[in-house]
Amino acid sequence: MSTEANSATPAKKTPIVESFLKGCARGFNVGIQNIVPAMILGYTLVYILVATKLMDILGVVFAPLLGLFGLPGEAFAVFVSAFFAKAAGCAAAATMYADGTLTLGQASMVFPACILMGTLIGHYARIVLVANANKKWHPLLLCIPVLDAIISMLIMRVILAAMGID
Amino acid sequence: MTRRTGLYLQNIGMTIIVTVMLLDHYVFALSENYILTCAIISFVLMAIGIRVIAKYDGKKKNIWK
Repeated sequence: MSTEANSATPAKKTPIVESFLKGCARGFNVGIQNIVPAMILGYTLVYILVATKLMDILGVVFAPLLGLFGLPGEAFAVFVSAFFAKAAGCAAAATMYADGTLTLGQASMVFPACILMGTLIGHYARIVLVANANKKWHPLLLCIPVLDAIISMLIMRVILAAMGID
Repeated sequence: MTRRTGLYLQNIGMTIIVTVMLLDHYVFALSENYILTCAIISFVLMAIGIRVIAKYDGKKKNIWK
């Protein structure tokens, strides 16, 4: 019965132009409501760290750890920004590249890491808590993105070295 | 806190920092401490707003509950 009804009234096709315009409007809203604020947040965080001279302290403290990946200690600000939002981390890296704190290779190296470990707490709430994952595995699930980010930086370092980019 | 409140906080934070930065760059030089205070305020507002919006968008996307 229901199949007959379905065959009698075929689904109305939306025109391509209308779909395209709807997609544009949705993309614009996502950009305005999600991406732009995250980018401004990243710029603001870097500005605060520079203006309060905390960047210099972070540079000294995290230099040994980040030195393993060929990054200066100041790159820690990128990961702090990425903790809030992926775009914020990428924006922070772009700002630091523009300031001369990071080289082209170092900025390229942190981009995949920002995407892999960015918005960590947000995704933890959205995915792990919503899926009711076993609490025993929660710490592991939080550590996996960080581990992925570390691996991505090592891979990027090898690729950039092979390409001759500093 | 509702999604609308989060959006307000985020927009207020963005407006504050963008206005201050543009004024400082193009109109007249502002005190460094004033810009820093505005930056901290807007950072806090934006961080809270982004968290709230992300929380609500995450709930909306969850079709299984």
